[in-house]
Amino acid sequence: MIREIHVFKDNQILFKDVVVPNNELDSDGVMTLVSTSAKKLQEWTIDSMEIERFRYVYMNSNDTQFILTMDRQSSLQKVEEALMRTVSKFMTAFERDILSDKWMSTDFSPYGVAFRDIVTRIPVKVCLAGHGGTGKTTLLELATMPDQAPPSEYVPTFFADKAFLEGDFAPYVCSIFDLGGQDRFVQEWNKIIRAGSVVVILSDSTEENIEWTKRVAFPALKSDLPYARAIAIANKQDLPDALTPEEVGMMLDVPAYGMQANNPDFRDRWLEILKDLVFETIEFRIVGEIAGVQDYDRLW
Amino acid sequence: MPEGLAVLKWDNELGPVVTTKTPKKLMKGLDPTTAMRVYGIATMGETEESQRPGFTSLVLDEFKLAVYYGGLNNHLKGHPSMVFLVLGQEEDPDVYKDALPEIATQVFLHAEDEEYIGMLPGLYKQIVRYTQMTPEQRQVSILNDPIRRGILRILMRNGTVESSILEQTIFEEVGREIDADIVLRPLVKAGIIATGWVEGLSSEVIYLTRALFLLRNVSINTVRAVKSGEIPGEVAGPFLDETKDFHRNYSADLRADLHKTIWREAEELSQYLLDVDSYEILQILREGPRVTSELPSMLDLPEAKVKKKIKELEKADITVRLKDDAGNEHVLLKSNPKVATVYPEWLIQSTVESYTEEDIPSRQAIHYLEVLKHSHPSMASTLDVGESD
Repeated sequence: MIREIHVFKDNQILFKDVVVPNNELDSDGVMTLVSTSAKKLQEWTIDSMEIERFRYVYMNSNDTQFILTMDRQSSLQKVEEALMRTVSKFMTAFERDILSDKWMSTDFSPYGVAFRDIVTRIPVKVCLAGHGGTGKTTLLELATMPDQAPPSEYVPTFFADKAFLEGDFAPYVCSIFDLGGQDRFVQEWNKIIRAGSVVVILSDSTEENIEWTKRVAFPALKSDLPYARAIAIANKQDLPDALTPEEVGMMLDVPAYGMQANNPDFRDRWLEILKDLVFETIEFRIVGEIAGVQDYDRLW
Repeated sequence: MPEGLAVLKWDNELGPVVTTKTPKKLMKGLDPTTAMRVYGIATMGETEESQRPGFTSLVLDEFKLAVYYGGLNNHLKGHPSMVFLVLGQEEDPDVYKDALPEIATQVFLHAEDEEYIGMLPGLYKQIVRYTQMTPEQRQVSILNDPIRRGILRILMRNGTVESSILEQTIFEEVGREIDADIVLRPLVKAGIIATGWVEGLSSEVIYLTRALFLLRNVSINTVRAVKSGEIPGEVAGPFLDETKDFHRNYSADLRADLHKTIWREAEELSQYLLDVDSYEILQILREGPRVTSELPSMLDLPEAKVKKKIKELEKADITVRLKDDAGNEHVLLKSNPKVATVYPEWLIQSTVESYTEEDIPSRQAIHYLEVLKHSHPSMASTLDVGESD
């Protein structure tokens, strides 16, 4: 997932577009650092650097520095290809200006459309993780197959399922992976979840399930997606003994949001939560920072 | 008859993606749900074996799939890693369990620059032909592939080699980067090599358990027919002289430089054994000499084509044509190409020497000697091609 673009020349920003802002780092300071490094690169050479959960992929062309900010765990190869396209499109439109002094007065803002088109090409990978029977497939279908009635019986997902979601997420589209939740499939997650930006942890809002999630799911997720952002869905809130979302969130050490995935009325809420998670406008947790099993006693 | 062939790769953001297929309209089995399940079935498990290339078959409601997985290495790198052969309900996927790995291996070996995309329609046609191959032809197909020929050449010389060194040597000799696991799996299955891990070595070790090569034999059936008077004397005499001369020279070549001769012969002879028409002619002539004019009806081929093929075989010193006094042209086998799988006994001594000289790690040498001990037959075996010598 590409988050931002910055284009520098002579230490000035020619163009920038921030789709999802980085609120955790001193963005100006980071950009100064990265653009300084980019200046030293040979023409059309790509390099990258990682800071916390972000990766900065950069290139120097005609003494102009192009920097894409991406989620650290997204596919580097795809973002590098996107950067090549970005620079190519930019130069096609503005090369004359860049090579003369006109760039100082050029309006580069029309380039935003082309950039957002490039951003759209790399789907945001969303992983629905949780034990079997917590409602991952129902939640996937609630988002991607709104005309279909919720499944009436539980059929365990074999390995994984996947569907696209083109909702109100522009410029992003989501590629949602529903991970098989049977114990035998959890050991396969590492083959599926690479490059995940977002993890949605499904719980059926029972203590037993929360214990399983901490013991089985978290180690797998932490091992392969330590920089992904995560929320929990406290599903099956319609059941009489369901823990509240607050309780689920506290027990998992991940912000939790209540849900009834088998109720079509919850579709808008689910899409809103997903959108807010992608754009980082709700509370979430970085997977690698979720308390480990040994830390939970301390939390309580 | 299969309904189509498709190549898939794993894309981290998209999951399974069809990179190419033939025919272009092929849809069955390629929906995301089926493709995802096939990846699951092929890769399930944490064992080393489950992550290696392998054949799987699936029976679905309206069709069947024969699948060859290229291994976790290709899978995680986002290279082509799965080849689907879509079959009708009435077909048995196991019929393709030898053919599909062959075809899929060619796909994986030509993944660079997406060369395999242009090759796929041709490979698809080969699949059916491959299922009709004799066991002899299947072994020949190993020798016809420059990469596997190169691997066998190295192993018949050294006996054992680390897979990383093998990959490097093949790159230097054949000019192609390979994933040893993909190339070697069919050889392991054929019992020609074994693989294993040796403590202290960073990559898997490959061991030769059976040497494979193509030799030219004297055709006993032909000589018997000639000597028993079935062939006119004016044909028999020149045939025996020419055959004797040829085999004398051939034996001298083998004595002078065994390795050079057998690998040159493997490259040359394999193409005739894999050519459908040439092979059919060869099979007929293995039974005994024929008058050329009989062959078109026996082969159900036009006369011109038969003549062309016989000329090619003659040029390769496989056949000879001679006319009798009545003007009939006889075609006879001058040499009978034959695949031989042989226990590599000579490698026992050379491995002991390598151990003594410390040319290879001692554990590797000991392990290979154990492998040789376990794979030792009482005598060398050759493939039965329907003619005893």
